[in-house]
Amino acid sequence: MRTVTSALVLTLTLGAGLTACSGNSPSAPSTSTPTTLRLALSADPAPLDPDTYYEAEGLQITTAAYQGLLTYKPDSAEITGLLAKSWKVSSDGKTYTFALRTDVKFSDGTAFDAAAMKASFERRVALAGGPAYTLAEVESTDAPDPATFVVRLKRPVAPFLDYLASPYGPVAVSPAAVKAHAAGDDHGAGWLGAHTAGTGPYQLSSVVKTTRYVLTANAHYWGGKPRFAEVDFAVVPDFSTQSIELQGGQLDMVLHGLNTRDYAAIKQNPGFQVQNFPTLFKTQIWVNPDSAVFGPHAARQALRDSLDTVALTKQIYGDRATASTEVYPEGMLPKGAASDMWQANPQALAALSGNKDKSITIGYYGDNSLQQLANTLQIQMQQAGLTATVRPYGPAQVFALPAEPKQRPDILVAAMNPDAAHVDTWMSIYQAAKAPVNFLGCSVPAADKLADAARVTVDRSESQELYTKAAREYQNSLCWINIADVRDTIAAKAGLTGWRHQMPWVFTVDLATLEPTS
Amino acid sequence: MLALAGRRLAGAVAICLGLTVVLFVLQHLSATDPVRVLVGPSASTAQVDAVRHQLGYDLPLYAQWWHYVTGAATGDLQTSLRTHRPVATDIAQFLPASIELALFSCLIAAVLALVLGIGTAGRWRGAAPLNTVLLAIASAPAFLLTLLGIMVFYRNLGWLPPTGRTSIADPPGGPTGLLTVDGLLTGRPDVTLDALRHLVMPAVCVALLPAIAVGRTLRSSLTTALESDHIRTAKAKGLSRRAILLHHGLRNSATTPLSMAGLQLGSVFASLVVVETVFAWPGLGLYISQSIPTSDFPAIAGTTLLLAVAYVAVNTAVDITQAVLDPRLAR
Repeated sequence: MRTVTSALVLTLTLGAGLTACSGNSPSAPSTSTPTTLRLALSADPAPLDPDTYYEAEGLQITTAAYQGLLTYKPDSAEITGLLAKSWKVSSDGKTYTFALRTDVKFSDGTAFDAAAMKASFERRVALAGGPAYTLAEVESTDAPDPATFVVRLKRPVAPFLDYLASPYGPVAVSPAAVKAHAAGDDHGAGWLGAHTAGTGPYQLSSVVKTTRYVLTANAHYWGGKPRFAEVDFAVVPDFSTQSIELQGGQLDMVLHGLNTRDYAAIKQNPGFQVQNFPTLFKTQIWVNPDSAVFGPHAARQALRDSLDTVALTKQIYGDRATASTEVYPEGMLPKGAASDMWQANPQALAALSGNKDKSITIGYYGDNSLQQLANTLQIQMQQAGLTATVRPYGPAQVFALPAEPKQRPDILVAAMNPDAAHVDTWMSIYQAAKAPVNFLGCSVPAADKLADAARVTVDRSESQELYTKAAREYQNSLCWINIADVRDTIAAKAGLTGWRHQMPWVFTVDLATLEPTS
Repeated sequence: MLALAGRRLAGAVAICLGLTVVLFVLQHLSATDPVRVLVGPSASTAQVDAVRHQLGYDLPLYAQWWHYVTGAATGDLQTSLRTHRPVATDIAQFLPASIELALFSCLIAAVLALVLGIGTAGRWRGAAPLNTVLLAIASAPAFLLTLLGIMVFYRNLGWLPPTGRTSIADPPGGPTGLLTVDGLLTGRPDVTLDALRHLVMPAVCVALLPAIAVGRTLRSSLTTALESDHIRTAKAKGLSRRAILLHHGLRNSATTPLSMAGLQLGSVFASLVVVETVFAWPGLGLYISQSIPTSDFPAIAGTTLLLAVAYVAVNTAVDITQAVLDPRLAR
């Protein structure tokens, strides 16, 4: 027994010795103004080359390092100039002429001009990555002088300006950096996967894959010195750990992913704050038109009528979302043009109890809120006499659904976010019959025809009218039932001010305007 | 002994080949589209098809398998769809962190198993309660233990860091990749100490379940051994308790716990995925856990192959050790 006791004592002594050397007790208050902002990424982002990078996690890094010609005003769908001071569109809608800023430099110190923008457009097309679709209709570009950049399209593209303002839109990449670091015909993509060469307020100064990404202020930034000299991103995949680290003082901000209870608890702590920003995210129920239960339009109507969106939104999201009232996110269509409200009738599903086939699968794709919504729907379905099974779908599974009809659930709960604040970026990506991620294969030919026409219509109001008509057709199909408009909810330590946010920039805030406090 | 090692090596090759077949069939049946994930939702179908062709995902399954196996034989494990880097390069980067965590976990597990096995085998008053506590810990899921650990030792006590391998901004980059060792080799004991502090919580979380499994097996073997005739004879000869336990009891009880220890390696690998994810430990567990949602097949297959080789190698080592302890097993 003496052996056992000795071993225990030794173990405890070693443990105490190690912990006694601890240098990072949580919440150690600092008396000086912090110069480093500490954030977390929930996944190691893909290579951060802006011409191939096409995911949400890590967008905070690319949007801080790169800028395009246009952007959106904070929390608005209104487009404003960024590297372009102004722009003109020809009467045929095919030629865009941009007057560029002349006081901009890249983070490598070289000057930004029209030739650099032209090279950046050409690089994106040559790399043919995911975001290259934004330039698919570009016929040619021209740089007649350093401050003028001209883009000619093959045909009018209604959402083209929104593509340029999108966080995945074309950005200025230093041609000098590309040339210096090109390997073979990779256009510098290998180097730009872990470095940056943009005109934004920050540049990537250190990358340790799967561990840490560090941004430092861009000394050549034209928009004024950012308040934080450094932004340190730690890769912390587990959101519970992120929450504990925020509350323990290891992180200054958690960009997304906590559950409603976590946010409520953090909000009540005076040492922290919770910020909500409007986004283009919509939580929806996608209905499989080939479902034995929900295939008939009347069944889809019953499903929709049974849903009390206000109650569901409050239950699932608390104040992190509002019940949806429009078919598309705010700003995509004139307010009220495609209203989307109904009188909830919890008994409506009872109409399906006489169905011969009562077995359904409820899929969900996304975070714990969507799982909770799927579980709530399961209970409602079972109360209506249906046998419902809930099944999670990961990204690789859900993106395979358009090509795998047999794998499609009867209904799919998902929250989708388009790349830009233009209704076409929703219809042509999620709803058209040939849309790349029309998960459950719903086809509304009349709507597709209207949307196609709207896309090439030069007159903006005429185009919007066509899109509005298309919206009503898609809405009437009841293949997509809107539940909630979800906000970007960010938990942070108290005292951080200068919050600025853009609607399509998911899980992202403007780092340049954030101000630290002592 | 050499024949035993040779048989095991041949078995390992067959297991790895079989594993690649299973992986390819599962990938084929899983109805996932990694290429769409790779190029993004808005990419055109033509763009997706072009990338699919470029990656060889449009080839028949047997052709994809043959291409993979012949490449793997030369060390080419293809390119990760997520990181866009060769899988072999990714593995080389993330493996040391996992090795360091696994080694420390095994060390802690071995010490704990010995302490628990010997402690609960004796007829002392605390043996029964200790056994109950062990059962309770063994029933707790790994993710719960990890979160509890962070809550208590970081959030409440502030003793240990919650995530990562080190808090030091410029740790040495080699030569072994094990920070605890590299700190000593490069004359930076601060790195070693900091790495040890980061290791404690994840290593204990990985070690607990195997330690309890092996400890309970040891307890059972030891209890039987201590009641056998030769132990009674040793007692009658007046040997000390320590001598009886170490020279007669433990040696004769070691084979079953050793087998269990080899089998528990699978549980260590499984725990690594959960523990590395929660503790943001940049090892293979985290690498594979981030590769699965995007169906990054080359990364999943490469890591699985490596773990299979490690599993077979360790169990071969266990067999050889058992044969040394009990030569009858080598025949």
